[in-house]
Amino acid sequence: MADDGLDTLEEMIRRPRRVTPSLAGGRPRNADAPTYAGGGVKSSSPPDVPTSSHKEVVVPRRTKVAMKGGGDRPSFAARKLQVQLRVEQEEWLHRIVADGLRDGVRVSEADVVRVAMDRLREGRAGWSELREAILAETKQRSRRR
Amino acid sequence: MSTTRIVAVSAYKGGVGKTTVAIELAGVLGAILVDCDWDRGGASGTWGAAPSDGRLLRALLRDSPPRPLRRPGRPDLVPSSPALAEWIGDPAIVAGRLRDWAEAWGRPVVIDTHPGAVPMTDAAWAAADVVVVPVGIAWPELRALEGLLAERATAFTLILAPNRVRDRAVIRPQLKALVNMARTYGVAVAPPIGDYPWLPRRRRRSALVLSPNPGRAVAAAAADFRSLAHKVEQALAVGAPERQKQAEVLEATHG
Repeated sequence: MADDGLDTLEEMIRRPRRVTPSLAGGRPRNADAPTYAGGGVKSSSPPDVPTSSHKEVVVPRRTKVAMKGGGDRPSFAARKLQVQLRVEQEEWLHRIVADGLRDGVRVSEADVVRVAMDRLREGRAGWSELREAILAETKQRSRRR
Repeated sequence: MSTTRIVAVSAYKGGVGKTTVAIELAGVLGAILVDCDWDRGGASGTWGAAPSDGRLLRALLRDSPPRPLRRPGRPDLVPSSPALAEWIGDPAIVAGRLRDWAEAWGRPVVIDTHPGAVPMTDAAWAAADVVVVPVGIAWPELRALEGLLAERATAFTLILAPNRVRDRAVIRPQLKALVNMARTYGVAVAPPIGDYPWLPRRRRRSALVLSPNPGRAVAAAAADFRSLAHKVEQALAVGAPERQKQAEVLEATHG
């Protein structure tokens, strides 16, 4: 008797995990995976990174998510996204946060990641201007508050 | 040689989807559904039968085939009643009666069972040519399944039916455990049934597979149950299992 069910289950086990794109602008390991704009799927092992050297940052999504069933407001879970950072990315992130404090701007790690990903999505991924953009946006927002 | 085709839907663990699987399977196979689960959440309640309907118990006592209930869009049903919980008859005798009824009806029979190894459920196992075991992809369900396989896999023709399997969020360790168990005990596995969160909330009493104009969601779920039924038909074609060995295993289970 052919074990169709076993084959299907084994195929499901083998199927690659969906990952979010790397913050450094690298390709996602699974090219078919949804990107930041549409997906927001948690990954437990980012590409080419030893698993011991990453951390997760929860980033509130700003894009509106179409809700199943017609609700107009996505849940908190639907609005958050988890990304993973390499050690050097995390150090860079801490430097930005420290720079912000020196300039009198309180920047959270989630703010930095969100702005960075927004710019990556728009194809503006230059690292030098990214730092300035993050501080500028955060300053602007703190002024609005 | 017996020409009956009896399928029991059973699991040690409750809440794994036995009733839904039994109803849909009976719908696809054109079988008579015999409800041996006396709890209110069983097939009779889902089907819409009166809880006071005692025809199954009366038929067991008189040894005459009960007349199934009929309604469009639902499989023919021999309903259960709470009084069945009091029945403590010999599983071998009940099994014999179930096989006689199947012979008299001349149609396949699907039996929905009460969770665990209670006498009425054991009777369904003893009567069945094939036992379908719905399995949830979670550790408590898998632990219960392992107990069931260790006790019974050698004597019965089992088909594991992975139920409520999420395609998008695959739980790999649990799936691997299920695959390993199936390989270790040499048990067949049906194509997985998807996770349809709307299914428990559905108010219609008709079987999905008998819906005349199914929407996309119903059609997808019905396709899963048809795949399971196909697997069951393949197993039924192999022939009746060895009854003597089964009786010994059932005897050993109850010490």
